[in-house]
Amino acid sequence: MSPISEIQIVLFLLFSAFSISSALIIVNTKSLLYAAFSLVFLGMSTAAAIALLDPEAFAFYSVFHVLLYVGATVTFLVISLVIFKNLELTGEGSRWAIPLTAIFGSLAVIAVLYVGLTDYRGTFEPVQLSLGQVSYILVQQYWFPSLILVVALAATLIEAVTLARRD
Amino acid sequence: MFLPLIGLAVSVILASIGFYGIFNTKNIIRLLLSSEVVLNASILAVFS
Repeated sequence: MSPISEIQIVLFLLFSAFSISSALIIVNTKSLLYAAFSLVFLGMSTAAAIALLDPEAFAFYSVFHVLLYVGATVTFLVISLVIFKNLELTGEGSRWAIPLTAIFGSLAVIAVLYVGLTDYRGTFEPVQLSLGQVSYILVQQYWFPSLILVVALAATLIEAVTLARRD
Repeated sequence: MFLPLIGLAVSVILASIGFYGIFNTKNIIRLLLSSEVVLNASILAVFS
């Protein structure tokens, strides 16, 4: 583990505060689109906080947290909200939804903690790869899919912002 | 060495906010969003 600098501590506290305020906005805001946007900031600040814990070890995971979690999951949520904008989705008729979500949420937490805190490593062989190599592959080899992805995500987010401002 | 401890504290706060959101809404999408908060909290807890 690399030694922790003062700037690292300050940035970690900053991103921690940012993630807590994003979570509060998700729970309290009336607009679902703004809640989904706050999830983007929560994901990014969590990724930054993880990277700051140990930049040498966790930077790689942090990049993939932003790429996969923020880039795919959250954008999927935003797209769904844009499509079903005028649909009123409430759990009035389904009393099982809240306890079921709580149970599955708790199971997910237990599973993640089990994998993270025990020596479980699965059957994967570790591969030596640096962030520079990954970015080189993305820019040189897969530049066209990356470009399409960036344009599509930007268009979706602009559309979502426009719809959210119209509410 | 206290950075992981702050990380754990933040993840506990995030999980509390997430479960508060789960138990205080009837909207399915808001339930989903709150469970995402809990998921982020657990990931941060593991890396801390």
